[in-house]
Amino acid sequence: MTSVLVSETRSRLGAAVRDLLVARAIPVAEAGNAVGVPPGAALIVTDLAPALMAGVAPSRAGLPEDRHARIADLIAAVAAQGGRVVLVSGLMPLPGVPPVTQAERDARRIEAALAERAAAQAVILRVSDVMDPADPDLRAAIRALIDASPVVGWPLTDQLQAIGLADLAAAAVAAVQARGVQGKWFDIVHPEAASRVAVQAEAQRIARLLVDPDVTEVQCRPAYPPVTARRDGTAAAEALHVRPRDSLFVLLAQAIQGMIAQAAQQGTIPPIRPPMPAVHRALETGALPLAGMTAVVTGATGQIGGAAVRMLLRLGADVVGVARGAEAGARMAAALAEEHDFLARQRRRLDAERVRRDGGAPVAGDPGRFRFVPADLADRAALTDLAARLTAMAPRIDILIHAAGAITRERQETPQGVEATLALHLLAPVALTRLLAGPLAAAGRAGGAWVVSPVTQAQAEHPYDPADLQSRAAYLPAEVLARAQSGLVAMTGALAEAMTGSGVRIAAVALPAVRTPFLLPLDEPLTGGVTAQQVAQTQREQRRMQMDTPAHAASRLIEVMLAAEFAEAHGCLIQGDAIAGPALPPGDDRARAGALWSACAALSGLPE
Amino acid sequence: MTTDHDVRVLALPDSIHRMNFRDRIEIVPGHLHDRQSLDEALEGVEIVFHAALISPPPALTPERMTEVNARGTAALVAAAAGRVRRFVLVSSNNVFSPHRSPAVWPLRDEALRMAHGNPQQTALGESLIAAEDAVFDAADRGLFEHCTLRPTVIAGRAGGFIDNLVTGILRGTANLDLQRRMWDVMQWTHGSDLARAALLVAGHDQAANRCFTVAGDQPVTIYDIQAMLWDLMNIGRPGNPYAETASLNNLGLPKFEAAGLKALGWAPQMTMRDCLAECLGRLEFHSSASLRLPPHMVDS
Repeated sequence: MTSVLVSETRSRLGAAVRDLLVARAIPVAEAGNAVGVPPGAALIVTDLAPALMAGVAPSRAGLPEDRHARIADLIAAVAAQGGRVVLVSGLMPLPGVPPVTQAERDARRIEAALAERAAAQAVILRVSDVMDPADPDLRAAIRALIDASPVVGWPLTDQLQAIGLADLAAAAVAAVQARGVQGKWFDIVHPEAASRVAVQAEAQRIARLLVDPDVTEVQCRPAYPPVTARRDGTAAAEALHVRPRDSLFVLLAQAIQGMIAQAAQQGTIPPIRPPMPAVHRALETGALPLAGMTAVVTGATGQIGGAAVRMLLRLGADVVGVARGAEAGARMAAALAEEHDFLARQRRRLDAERVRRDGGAPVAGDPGRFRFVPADLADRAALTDLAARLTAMAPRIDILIHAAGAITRERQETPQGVEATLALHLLAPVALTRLLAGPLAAAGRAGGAWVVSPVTQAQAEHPYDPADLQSRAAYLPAEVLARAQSGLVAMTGALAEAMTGSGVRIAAVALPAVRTPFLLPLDEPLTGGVTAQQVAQTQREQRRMQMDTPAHAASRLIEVMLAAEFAEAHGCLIQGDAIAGPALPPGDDRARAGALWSACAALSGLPE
Repeated sequence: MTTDHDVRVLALPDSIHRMNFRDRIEIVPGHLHDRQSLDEALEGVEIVFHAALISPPPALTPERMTEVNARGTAALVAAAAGRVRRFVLVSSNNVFSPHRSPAVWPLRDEALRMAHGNPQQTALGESLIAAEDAVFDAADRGLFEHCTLRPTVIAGRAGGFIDNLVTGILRGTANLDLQRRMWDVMQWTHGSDLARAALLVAGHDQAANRCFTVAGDQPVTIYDIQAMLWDLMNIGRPGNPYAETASLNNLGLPKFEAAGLKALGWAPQMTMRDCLAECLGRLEFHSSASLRLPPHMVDS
């Protein structure tokens, strides 16, 4: 075989055959006419394929006379040069039964021409119900099938057993190359058959599935009642060494996927987007939803706080970072100033990509700017100074994130004699929120402000103890932290009540364990031999590897401000991706919360 | 080497012995955080193929992924900026946003990024996105052109994930239901197809400053792999006992579409069957005494 002629390449099958030959580095020659057919060249006749498309287009016109004549001439020319002829043909009616459809009449004529001119070199591939997922007529038939009840159109018979266009093209190319197949015909069909009722049920299931982007569970096709396949493609599989890959259910799904994509492209249905948190969508599209806003982040040099700062800047907010370490803060400010141009270029690139992908106009603007204020939040005097300084710097504060945290193995007290964990994790966020009520309310009036406090999930298991707020009876660091944060949850509810109507929304966000150095001070020193220490260290590493990343934790905090589903989260505890309920620790009530409010006020030196 | 280029490789000193054709290529021992070795490796180079990103995560700490993927790439970018013409980054489809629902398939080149999954996968995704951003930024500044490839699971030599998957199925120790949920629909890319994609984009005018999804053509679940393994080990025998479960578990819809690469003339040459046959050969399953085939594989 020197080359392969494809009788026509305008049909999808003809084009698929040509592309497959090219991909397999088999020389393809244009089958212009019967003159000049190279010696030994093979011929694949694909002209009948369009009329065989799964019975969805019975009205498709048959082949014109001149085409019949051309095919007959090509067959004769190839046979004369000793080449093989592969004919993609329809099923033959039973002997004595006259052909009914135009496709059958055409097939019978071409097979007659083949028998007359090249019987010994011919390979006939008998097909019926060819499914081309991209065929508009097939798609229209499936659309009708999805909408109709019961089935009124396609499939025309009580069971369907099909062959996909790609598999048919592969069979045609294989038939050119296979040995010992000349003079034979083969049934080309996928072994899987289904009743027309099952085809309809599956089409309807797939149509529902492919418009629901929130599906997360494993998708399995139901086991429809089995039907006995009437056609057998085993001989083709053995002789041509091809097994059809796509079952009719796969072809059906591919067609429906194409239909839905087309509808979305044409605007008939809304575009289907992968589910994505609002914060990540904004970051990846270069949006600036926080442009013009001012955010204050405590614990800014920590891992979660630092990640939150960077995200807020990328989303357009100007950020004031607060942390105890002045040197670390200065380094962070310098690094972020240096990074500003990088973030600006990144945003412009993402915005340009959005315009290319989704259309719309470019958005102007740059990431926000960062300033740093050092302060020890556990120190009551420093906290008061900080609030005054922040109020002077930013008369309007749109976002306040309480991300400061620290833990110590031994009980420590602040200069005011308050247990340090309580001071930092409960008193400081409550007091700072109250002291910044003016700038927050200013933002609330201008469109809304958010105060967000991350807490650990352990707070739910260790409610605060009003009788021993300062943990004098016993000091178990992790429990002390959890109790302080349980108090913060209660005070989130109380602050929300106090600030209702101001336009300021307050929420606590329960985070899973986050991979930061925060809890490292609680690690017990490794003991035992070298092996025992290595095992313990490995186990410790494995536990740490299961912890959330700081950036992911930060994104959960900022998601509260951007996602529509959290618009009503004022005074609530947010857990995972949902509002868990009012910010009220287990077993708490208004009276207990009121007493805690008073205690916090007294310890912070603030009026009730 | 097959395209007549001189090849220089930057390799960790303890990995050089694993490299083929050591006598035909130039090797610079070093690592991504060693500026001297980077400078030496980049001297006179036109095209950089950066494939030293690490995954999958189970044996790696997030800190290690950040160090190698994010900081290592940034260091290489800093060294290559303004010196090389094109920078081909082999990233991963791990950078894409969650895509569990078939309604959002197939993911294309322009899909949005978002690190996601379990904490380790999230950490991996974050490190890869940071690596990509460093490369994109240098390209934005005109310091080189980038071509970023985002392959799916890579089959072939050193494909530990696939070797483990196959061994687990053959030993009968794989919890297939769990793995069906965990890996969902996969669409492996063979390493040789990935390499051909890298070579293609490295020299193609229309590939400059673009990202490309790289994926094989065949979507499969773990049950398809089980059925294909049976076929491979029972050649010519009808009645695959796993075929029906495999069929029920697979919609047959592609999860990824390598549209950009295909428009440039690339097409995967290795099928899933090829990948699995090669893997079985690598595992020497026919002669391996350590691989105890379960009865359901032997008696069928």
